[in-house]
Amino acid sequence: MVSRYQVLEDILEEVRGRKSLVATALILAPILSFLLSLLVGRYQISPQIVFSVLISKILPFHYDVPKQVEIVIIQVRLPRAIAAALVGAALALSGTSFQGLFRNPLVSSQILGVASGAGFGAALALLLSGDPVIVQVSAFGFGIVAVAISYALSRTYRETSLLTLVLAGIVVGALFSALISLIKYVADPYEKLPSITFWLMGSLSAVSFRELTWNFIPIVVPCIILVLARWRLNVLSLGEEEAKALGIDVERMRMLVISCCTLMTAAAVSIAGMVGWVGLVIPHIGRMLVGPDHKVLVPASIAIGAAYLLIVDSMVRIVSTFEMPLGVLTAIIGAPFFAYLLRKRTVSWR
Amino acid sequence: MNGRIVVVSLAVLMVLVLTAWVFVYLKPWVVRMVALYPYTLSATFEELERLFERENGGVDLELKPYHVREELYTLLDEGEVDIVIAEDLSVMEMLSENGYVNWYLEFATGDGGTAYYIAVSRNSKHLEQALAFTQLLLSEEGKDVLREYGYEPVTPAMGFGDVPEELREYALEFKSVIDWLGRRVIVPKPVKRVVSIVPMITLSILMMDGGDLLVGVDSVSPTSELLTKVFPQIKNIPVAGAPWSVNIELILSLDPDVVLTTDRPMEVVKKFEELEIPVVIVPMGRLHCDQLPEAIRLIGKVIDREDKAEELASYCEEKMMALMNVTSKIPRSERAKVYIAISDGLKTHITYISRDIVWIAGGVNVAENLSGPAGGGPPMAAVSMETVLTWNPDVIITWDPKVKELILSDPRWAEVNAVKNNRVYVIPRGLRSWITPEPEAFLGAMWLAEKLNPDAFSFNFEEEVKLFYHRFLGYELSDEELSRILSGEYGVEIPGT
Repeated sequence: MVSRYQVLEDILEEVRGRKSLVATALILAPILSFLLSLLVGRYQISPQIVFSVLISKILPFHYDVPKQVEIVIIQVRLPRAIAAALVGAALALSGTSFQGLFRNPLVSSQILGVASGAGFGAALALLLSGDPVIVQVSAFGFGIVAVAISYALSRTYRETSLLTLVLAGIVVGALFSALISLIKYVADPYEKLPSITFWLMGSLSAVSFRELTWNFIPIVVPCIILVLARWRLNVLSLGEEEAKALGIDVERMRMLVISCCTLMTAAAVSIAGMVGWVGLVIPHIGRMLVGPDHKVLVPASIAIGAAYLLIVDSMVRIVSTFEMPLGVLTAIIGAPFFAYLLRKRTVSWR
Repeated sequence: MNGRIVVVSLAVLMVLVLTAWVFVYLKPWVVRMVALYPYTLSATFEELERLFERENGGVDLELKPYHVREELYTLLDEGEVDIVIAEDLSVMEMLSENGYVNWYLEFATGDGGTAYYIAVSRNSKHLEQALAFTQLLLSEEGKDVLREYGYEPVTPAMGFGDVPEELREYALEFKSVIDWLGRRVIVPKPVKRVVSIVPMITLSILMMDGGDLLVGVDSVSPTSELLTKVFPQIKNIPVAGAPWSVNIELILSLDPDVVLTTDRPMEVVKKFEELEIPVVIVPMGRLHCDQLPEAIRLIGKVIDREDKAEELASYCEEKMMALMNVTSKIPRSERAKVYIAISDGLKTHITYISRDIVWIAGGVNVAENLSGPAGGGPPMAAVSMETVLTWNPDVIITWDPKVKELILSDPRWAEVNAVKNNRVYVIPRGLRSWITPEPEAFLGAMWLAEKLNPDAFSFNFEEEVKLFYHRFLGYELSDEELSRILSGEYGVEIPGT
C-alpha cells in the first residue's frame, strides 16, 4: 500500500525536479544567447575564429587574424552583446521591482516617466548638437529629472501614496511625450528628424566600449542592491500596512527601489533608446516560470531579460542589411509570445 | 428670229434669277461667321445667335453643333471656323497646342461642374465680329441667357493664353500648369503671392529671383545661417509650416495665388484642393539628379520666372554633363566606394539624389541597394557597424564635422580604408547641405568629383561657387564665407532662438 506521505513525497520530488530544470535553464539561457550573439552578424566570420580570438584575449597565446576581423569581434560584437545583456537585465529587473512595489501587473519600468524623459533629453540633444556623447548624457539626465518630478509631485505630508505616484508618472510621461512631439515638429525633416525617430525606436548598433564604461556602474550597482534587498520586495508587495507591521520603513524602502530602478532604466535607455515590452512582459514570464517569490523572481528576471534582448538583437543584426529598430522587434516578438503565454496560463502578479 | 429672242430672254431670266439668288441667299454684303459648339448647348446658342444678329445687322452667325470631339477636329480641318466652344479644358489645350487658337476663356459652368470655354480661331477672317460675339457672351445680356438655360456664368471669366485687349475687362488671366504628378493646376497669371512649404522649393525660388513673390515659407529655411544672410527678408515672411504640419489657417489668411509642396502627405494636398487653393506638387525629396532641372523649370513656370529657371536648369545640366563626360568612362569596379555617414555615423542617407551625386562624381554609394524614400520611409537608413566594415568604403563623407571627429576617434572605424587613407570629408553646406535635392547639389557633385578623382578635373572650384552665388542669388561671397561653406561649418539656427 502506498502511503499518503509517499504521494506527497512524489509530488515534492517532481516539483524539485522541475525547479532544478528551470534553474538550469535560467542559468544557461543568458550564457548561450550571449555566445550566440557573438557569432552572428553581417560580417562573415566562422565561429571557430570568433572563439579563438576571444580566448586569445584571455589566455596568453597569440592568434593571428586580420585587424578588421579582430575589430568586428572585440570592438563591435562584444560591446554590443554586453550592452544587450545589461539593458535587457536592467529593464526586466526594474519592471519586476516596480510591479512588486506598486502591486500592479500593468506597471513597467517606464511608469514614472523615465523613458519619456530620456527620449526628450535625447531628442533635444539631437536637435541642438547631434554629438552622440551629449545625446547620451542628456538622455540619462532627463530620464532622472522626469522621475524626480514625478516623485516630488506625489510627495505630500512626507508620505508618498502609490496611486498619486502612478498618476504623477503618467502626467510627467505625457508632458515629456508632448515635448518630444514639439521637438520633432521643429526639427529639419531631411536632416534631424530621421535621427530623432531612429533614436526613439531604439537600437544597439552604435554601442561601443566607451558608452558601456559610463553606463556600467549605473546599471550594475543598483542591480546588486536590488538583488541583495530582494526579500524586502516580498514584504512591500504585501501592502503598506503589513510591511509596516513587519517593521519595514516603507517610505525609505520605496525610495531605494525607485532610485535603483530609475538609475538602471535611465542608463539602459540612454544606451539603447526606447525599447518597449521588456520591462512589462519579462516579469510576467518570470512569474510563470518560478512563481511570485521575489527571492527567486529577481534573479530569474535578470536572466530572462538579458537572454531575451540578446536574442532579439541578434535577430536585428541578421534580418536585413539595414538595421531593424530594436524597439520594433521586441514588440513584434514579445507581444505574440506573451499572448501565447496568456492563453496557456493565467497571469497574476503575486 | 423668234428663237433668238427666246434664248436671250431665257438668258436674261437666268441672270436675273441668279442675281436674285445671290442677293437673297448669299448676301455678299453680309459677314458670315461660323461657330462650332457642342450640341448640348443648342438652345442657348440659338438664343444668343438671335440676340447677336439683332444687335449686329449684316452679320450672319452660322451655328454648327458637334457631338464628339473628333467631329470638332474634322470640322476645323474642313473649312473656315471663327468661333469654337468646348466643354473641356483639354480640348482647348489641344487646339492651342496645334495652333488653332491663341487664347481661350472659361465663361460658364454647368451641371456636374462641366466648364465651358470659348475661343476665337487664330485664322478667323472676321476677328472683329468674333470678338464682338465673345463680348456679348461675357456681357450681362449674355449671362442672363446663360442663366436662363441653367448655366452659371463665370464672373469674371477665366482667361488663358494671350487674351486680346478687348476682352480683358471681362476676364482675369490664368495659366494652367501640369505639375509633377500630372495634375492640371489653374494658377493666376502673373502669380503674385507664392507659398512654399518645402525648403528645397523655397531655395529654388530664391535662386530664380522669385524671393519677392514669397508670402509664406517652410519652417526650415529661415533657420539656415547663410540663407538669412543671402536673403535677409526671409526673416519677415510668415512661416507656413512643413508638408506634414501645415498651418492651413495661416496659409488661407496669406491669400496665396499658389502653394508649392510635395505629395506626402497627400491629405494636405487634398485639404488645399477642398479649400480651392491652387496647389502645385513638386516632390523634390525623392527626385533623381537628372529630374532636378525639370523640377526647376516647372517651378519657374509656376512663378513666371521661366527665363531665370531655364538659366538655372541648364546650368545644372551643363555641370552634370561636364562631370559625366569624364566619370561615365570609369568602370564600376574602379570607382571609389563612398559611404555617407550621418548622426552617429551608422545612419546613411538613402535618397536618390545622394546615390546619383556619388555616381556622377565618379564613385559608387555603398548603400545604393538600401530601400530609399520611394518606399515612403525616412531619407535615412540605420546600418550596423559590421555592415560598414563589410562594405569597407574608400571614402566617407558626412554633413556634420562632429561625425568626422567621432569616426576618426573611434577604434572600430580605424581599419576602414577611408580612415586609414585619411579620406573622411565633411560635405560643404551653403544654404543647405550640398547633398540635398536642390540646385546646390550640383556644386556638391563637383566638390565630390574633385575629392574622388583629383587628377581628372581641372576646374577652379572656389571660383565656381562664388560665381554660382553671384549669378543665381546676386550675392558676393567673401573668402571667409566661402571657406565656412566648404568646411561644412555653416550651422542652422534653432527655431525660436
